[in-house]
Amino acid sequence: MERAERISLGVAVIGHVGLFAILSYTLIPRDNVPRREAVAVTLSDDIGEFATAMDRPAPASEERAAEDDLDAMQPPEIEPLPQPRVTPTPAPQRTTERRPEPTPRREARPERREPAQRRASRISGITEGIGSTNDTGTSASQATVSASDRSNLISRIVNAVRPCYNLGSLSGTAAEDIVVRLRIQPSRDGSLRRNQVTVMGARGVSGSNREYQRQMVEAAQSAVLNPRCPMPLLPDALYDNGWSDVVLNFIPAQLT
Amino acid sequence: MAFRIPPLSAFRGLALGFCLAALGSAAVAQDEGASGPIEGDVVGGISNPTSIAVPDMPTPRSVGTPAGGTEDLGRQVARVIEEDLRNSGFFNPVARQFLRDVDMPQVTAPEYPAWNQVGAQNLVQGYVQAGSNGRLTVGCYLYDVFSQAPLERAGYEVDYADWRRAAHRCADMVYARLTGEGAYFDSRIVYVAESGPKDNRVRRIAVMDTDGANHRFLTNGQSIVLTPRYAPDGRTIVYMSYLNDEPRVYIYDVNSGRQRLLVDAPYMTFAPRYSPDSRYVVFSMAVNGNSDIYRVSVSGGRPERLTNTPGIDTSGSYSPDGRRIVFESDRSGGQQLYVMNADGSNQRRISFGGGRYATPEWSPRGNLVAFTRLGGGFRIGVMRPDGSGERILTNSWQDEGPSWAPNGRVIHFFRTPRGNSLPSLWSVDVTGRMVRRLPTPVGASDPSWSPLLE
Repeated sequence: MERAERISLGVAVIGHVGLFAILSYTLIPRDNVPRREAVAVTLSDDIGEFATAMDRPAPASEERAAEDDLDAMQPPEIEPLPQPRVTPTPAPQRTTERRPEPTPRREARPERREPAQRRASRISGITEGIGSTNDTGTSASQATVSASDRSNLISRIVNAVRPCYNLGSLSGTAAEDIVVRLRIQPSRDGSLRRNQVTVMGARGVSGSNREYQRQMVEAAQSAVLNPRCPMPLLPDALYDNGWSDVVLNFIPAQLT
Repeated sequence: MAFRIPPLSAFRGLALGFCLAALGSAAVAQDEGASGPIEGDVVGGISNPTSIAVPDMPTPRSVGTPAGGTEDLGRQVARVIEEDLRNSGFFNPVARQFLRDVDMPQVTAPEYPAWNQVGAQNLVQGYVQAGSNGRLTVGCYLYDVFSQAPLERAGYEVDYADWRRAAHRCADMVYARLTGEGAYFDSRIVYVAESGPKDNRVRRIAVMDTDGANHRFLTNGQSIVLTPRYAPDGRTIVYMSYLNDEPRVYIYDVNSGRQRLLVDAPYMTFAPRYSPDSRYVVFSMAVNGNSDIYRVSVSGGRPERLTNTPGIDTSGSYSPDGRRIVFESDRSGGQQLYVMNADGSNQRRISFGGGRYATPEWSPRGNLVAFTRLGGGFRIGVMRPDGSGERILTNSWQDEGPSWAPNGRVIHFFRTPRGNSLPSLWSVDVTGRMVRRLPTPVGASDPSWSPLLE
């Protein structure tokens, strides 16, 4: 080996050692990043059985705030027209307007009122793909509703609502540029009432379609309140941090 | 073998890459335990008629009136409202056998669960009451059944004989509130009623409500009449008549029934239409074989010439602001659409599609022009006033003569089948859907929509 070659070899060795040292140094902080264990996803028949953690209860104050927002949007209370002498309506039925009696929608699904019944075997097929378990096969905790759970939940909800998103006369008009954003906060039994629906806004409103904005909002509200398209049966375990709080963007047509 | 050590900045970039990767992992980890609403997109939607219930309207006191008992009027008012909404194509009334009886207290306090059970999304309730002043009061209430909330209410006081108008106005309120469109049910249609064989056809001017009721003939058919047009104020109708074999433009006073010649000139005058303020009439006059567009005061006087090119310029129609006029002209060889300022300046062609274009009418909204497109049949279409966005709305053998509803959403036209059959009136939504035939007692052509009645 020539002297020059030995020198070159020595430089190369020193260079490689140096490069290894630098790379190792830059990799040190990565060790501080918590590693996520791979999670095996299997189906469980016991979804929600141990779902007792209430780290994110539906706050009553929020519901009240939503109700207050809707109050501001409500038209004034209807009174009989001044011309005719119509006997004023007795109070009992009027008082039910704000908190109405159960609708057929709820009556059609009485079993959803009992969480225990929601774990019945017939639900297991319905909840397919929702509710992952950890490596040990135990039920997922409410506090750890996974991203895939959330994705599956929203997919189920969207599929349930879409058939009732009826544009009617608005179809084919400039109203289709309006995207309405709704927040729904269903009860644990799956029921949904007007005061659990909040309008978060609308975009795409312009001078050419402003006259349709109210109707577009109402079309979205009707879609989620239509008894023909109730909330799908969803795992109770995934209620908190999951389907207890949902935002839906109603997009009439794919915008380009 | 020589190599170069990458500069230190490269290592910094590498380190930055590791850091970004670590941050990305953190973001995913955060998503795994995400809180806050879950969010998704409802894309698409459907377009079906809205289910609506219109039960019979009760009366607080059953009283006989010249138009019938108030109890019976309550039933008939509900049926007129129901038919108006059904004919719009946007509503699907709940079948009457599923409707409930409504008493007076329920008019303002609907039983939402019961209406929910019959599948109604909206509910129209009301009452009918005979007043001491000899007039009829109709109360009209609109509810959202799903939301269990009132949406709108209105009251209408009319003469007994005008009970149908109260029903139309209630239907207008419902239609406008639920669609976001303007009203149009409480309006009238003037048209040319046609009867008899093709070679000896009798043509009379006739008027009727939008739903075909209250039909009557205004002329006796002794002379041929064409192109009747309502004035925007609804008080007069301008039309062309071959009275005494001299084709001239006349004005008919709706209240008095009198008619008068608009322009006293020894020339053929035709294709009249009012200006939006009802003060002028734009029309065509053929002088020495050349037809141009003129404007004249409704009280008559000397016409003002607006076009002066060789050929036939005709079918002028004002924009709603009165500043421009759309018309047809064959100055380029075939009939095409042109727009000019109201004083005749700045004339420019706006139609460039295949075939020919005729009988334009400017939308009351100002955003569209309806026309007849000729070539491979006659079809009704719309385009923007600058000529862009052309859409053909109908596809039949011979559809022509479009006329806009007061709300600019619906277009009337007349359809003539092959052969010697009589023409008939039809309507089409501006989206091209809901093509519907209008009932007329005889053949019908040249429809013109009145403004909303006052």
